[in-house]
Amino acid sequence: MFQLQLEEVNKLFTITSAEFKFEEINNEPQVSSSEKNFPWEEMTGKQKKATKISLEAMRDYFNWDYLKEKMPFRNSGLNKLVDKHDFQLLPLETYLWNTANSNISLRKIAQEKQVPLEKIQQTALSMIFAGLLEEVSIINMPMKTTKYSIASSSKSNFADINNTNISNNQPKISNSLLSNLIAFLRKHF
Amino acid sequence: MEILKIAVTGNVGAGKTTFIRTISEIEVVDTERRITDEKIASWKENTTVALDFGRLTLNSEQIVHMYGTPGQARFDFMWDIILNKVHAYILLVAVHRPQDFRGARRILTYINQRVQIPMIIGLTHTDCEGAWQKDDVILALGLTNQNIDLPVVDVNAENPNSVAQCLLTLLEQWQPKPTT
Repeated sequence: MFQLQLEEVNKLFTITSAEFKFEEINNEPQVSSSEKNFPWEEMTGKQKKATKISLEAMRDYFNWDYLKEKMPFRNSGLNKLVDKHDFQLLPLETYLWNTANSNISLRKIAQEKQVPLEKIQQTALSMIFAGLLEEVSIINMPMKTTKYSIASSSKSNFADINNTNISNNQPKISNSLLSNLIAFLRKHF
Repeated sequence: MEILKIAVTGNVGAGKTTFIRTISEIEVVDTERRITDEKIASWKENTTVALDFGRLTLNSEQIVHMYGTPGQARFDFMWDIILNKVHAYILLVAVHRPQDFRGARRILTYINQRVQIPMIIGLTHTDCEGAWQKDDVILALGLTNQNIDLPVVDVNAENPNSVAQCLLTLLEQWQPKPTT
């Protein structure tokens, strides 16, 4: 019964322009005002996360023409938004999951898997919508990081900017400048 | 001479040039040109093609420089040039243009990949029709699921007090966080 209901939900993804509002059932003993309108007699007691439903529905039902502008760029990579998940992924989705965080572009993945780039972009986007992945820019140049850490002086009010891996052309900023800037902004604005 | 360098970034129309103009003691170097992107040109005439530059002189030895980055994607290569030069970042997001949130999120991820420097997010156009609520913007920018702990403040780029308050919030990022 629940599966049949899901089939109907999946078909909603064929609608080209719509807005849906999902309401959660409270675990409170009292029925809330919004819950009074729920179709209780049709409900089976089973539940599924909206993100899982969207991922599954987008595999079969979605008209991707409407999301052309939302597609991740071909030169972008993917990063994981969560460490673990309990989604049942298809082979291509599993591949994208496993290659995430590795600075590989979607174009390269398409070449390696010999799958059309468009299909890779669509799969990536459905996983982005499901909250599993996010699109990231691929770093083309050596990574340079700047870190700021707590100043060693106990008198200091500010963390000190200490460059770790970055080139030396970025000078430190003194606590004096930061304090003077605060005073300046408070006085003049 | 000691110079604090702050970059102001964001999508086209987020208010970067206005932000710098509002607080700068000098006339901001005008690098605005007629927009060539037809879509953007329908709602904004000019955009920044190089760096906007503003300045605040604290005293004879200490100065603040502010750089506004170009908003159009084809100038993204300039970010790397700026990222290695600045001490802090302000990302402006126009909350009445949800179609730009993805771009803002991309900028945010891009910066976080490269540098760990003080940064805040300024929400602009909060009084415009169709403006999103702060919590919704935070969600759209992925700040909750990326575990990014960034201050998010409302800012009116045309109001000197509001811009100054935004800078003060940025300066708070230098203050050491209490150890647990």
